[in-house]
Formats: sequence, C-alpha cells, structure tokens
Amino acid sequence: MSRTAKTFAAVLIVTMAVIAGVFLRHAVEEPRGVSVSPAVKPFSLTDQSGRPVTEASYRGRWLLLFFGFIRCPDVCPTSMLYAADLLKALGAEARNLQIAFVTVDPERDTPAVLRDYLANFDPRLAGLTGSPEQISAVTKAFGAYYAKRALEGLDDYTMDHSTAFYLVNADGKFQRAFALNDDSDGLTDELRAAMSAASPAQKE
Amino acid sequence: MYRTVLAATCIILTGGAALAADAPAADARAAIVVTHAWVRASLGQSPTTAAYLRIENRGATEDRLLAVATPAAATAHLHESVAKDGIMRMQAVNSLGIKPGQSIELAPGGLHIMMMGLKSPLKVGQTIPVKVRFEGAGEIEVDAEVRGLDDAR
Repeated sequence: MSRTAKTFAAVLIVTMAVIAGVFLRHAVEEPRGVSVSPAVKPFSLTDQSGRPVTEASYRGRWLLLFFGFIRCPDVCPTSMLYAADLLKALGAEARNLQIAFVTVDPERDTPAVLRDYLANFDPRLAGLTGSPEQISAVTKAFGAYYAKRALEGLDDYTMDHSTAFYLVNADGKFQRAFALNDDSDGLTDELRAAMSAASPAQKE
Repeated sequence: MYRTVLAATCIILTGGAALAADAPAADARAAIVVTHAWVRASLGQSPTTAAYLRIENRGATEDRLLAVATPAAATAHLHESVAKDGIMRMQAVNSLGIKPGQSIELAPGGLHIMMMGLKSPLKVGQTIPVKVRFEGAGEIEVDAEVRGLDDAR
C-alpha cells in the first residue's frame, strides 16, 4: 500500500469516527432515548428518471446514500467505482440494496446529467436531485455537509462535501455512516450479514 | 506561497536554456523521474476529471513540484482530498516537496491533478500531454494514458 493510500485510509478512518460521533450524539438526543438507530427524517427528491422519491421509497430494501456532484474530479468517481464493485460482490443479494448518489450541486446535476454519469458505473445506481431546499433538507436528515466554494481566478465553483456513505436498513432506520474503500471485502460480508440477519421481513 | 510563485516565475523567465547550461540544474533535471501517468476518461457530461502519476527523486537534494498543466483542459491544479472537521474537501496544493529517494504517487482518493474545463471528452485509448514543473528539474512532460473506470482504481 502506498503512502498516499495509507494517508487516505487514515483520513477516512478519522472522517468515519467524526461522523459516527455526530450520529451517536444525534441518537442520544432522540426523544425516545433508547433507540440507537433513529428513523430517517422525511425527505423528498427526484430520481434520474424524473420520478419522485421520498424516505419511504426504498423501504423493504437497504439504502446506501452518498452525497457528491458530477464535476467532482476524484473522490466521487472513486466512491461510485467502489459502490459498483460492492453491488457486483453482493451478487444476487444486491437486489436487497439500493445505492443512491445524491447531488449537492442541483443547479448543474439534473436527472438526465445524473443518469448519463451513473450509467458509467452501474445501471442499478440511483441518482437523486431536487430543489436547493430539498437538497438542504436531505443532507440535514443525514447530518451530511456541503458548501459551494468559488474557484480562485475562475468563473467557476466546486463543492465541499461529506464523503461518507450512509446506511439505512429495510425498515427506514439509520444504521451508520462509513467510508467505502478498496478494502471492501469485509464490508461486503458485513452488509450481507446485516441484510440477512436484521431484516427477516424482507425475505420473500 | 508568494516566494514559490516568484521562484517559479524566475525559472520561467530565465528559460530552459539557462537551466540546461547550469550543471547543478542538469543534475536536478536527471534526478526527477515522472512515470505511470494516467487520466480518468470523461464521465457523462462532466467537463472535469483527474490525472495521476508517480514522481521519484533519484537525486541527492530535495526538489519541489510547483505547477501542472495540460493542453487538454482549461485549467489544471494539484489538489488533495483532505478531511477537516470530518468533511472531505479538495484543497489546492501549491507546492509539493519530494525528498531524495522519495517516491510520491498521485492516486484516486488522495493527491490528484484536477483538470477543469476539458476541451473535448477524454476517451479510453487516447493519450494527453501533462506538463509537471519542478523548482530544480524544470518542466517535465509526460504522456498520460486515458483509462476507463475498470482500470481507474
């Protein structure tokens, strides 16, 4: 493993720890107090085919959400590549999992733009967009962050954003945030185990 | 930062001929080896992509990468994905030191050359020139192979 890869792994671990901390605090603050897997807050978006999508749309299947934008040069394509690898590794069980790329740049990332982009990785990936208010609401629902940042000397901008994946179970309960990386074998097994053990209801 | 820009500007102004005539500079030039250059093929309608490469310093003194450029894009900058307060950000890297004996690999998820404003979509099988400018070694041009996603991990 190169030094860059090691550094990246370390950075991801720190990111995960911080995000996990945010969610643990969030869980503790839930009024019921006992739940460590709170229900996902309502959101309303549009998928790559123009269909409306809400937090209830993927019930019965697990949901893995990523927040990014298609002009993101490095982290987003790399993350979607690993997401596509994960679907392939899950084989037939991938039907119990929906992976969705939620844009944080709705000005540019229309449903058609998302569809063209995601087709490069795996046709099973969903691309979600919405109004600026809807994008703000869905990122808040997951504790994700994004901000537009002007590029020095250019009439252009880029986006800062969280790069974690957020896992929601088949009952619509938030499970955890984590980073996908090229050491995804362990994660594949973990997801497979979680999907078969925690959600007997989804078995046909 | 200002000093490195100034130094870089001086190198440009004095030109390659002056560098080549200078014995220590010639050593510095031979010391830096840039290989394994590749760029991710364009995805959908995105006019942005990233290029990656490996830099080795086989010499006895530290050198610094000061700038990158490619005619394939309106702008190119060395960037790094870094985590700050739990958020991943792209951060410009204005100068990158390479110590004697060190090898630095730009790779997905970390250091990368951000290319913005692609002049035309980049397709698998093409190659594009990428110029990397160093404080000591001057400008080194390499051909970056355009790779599809299957080879872009």
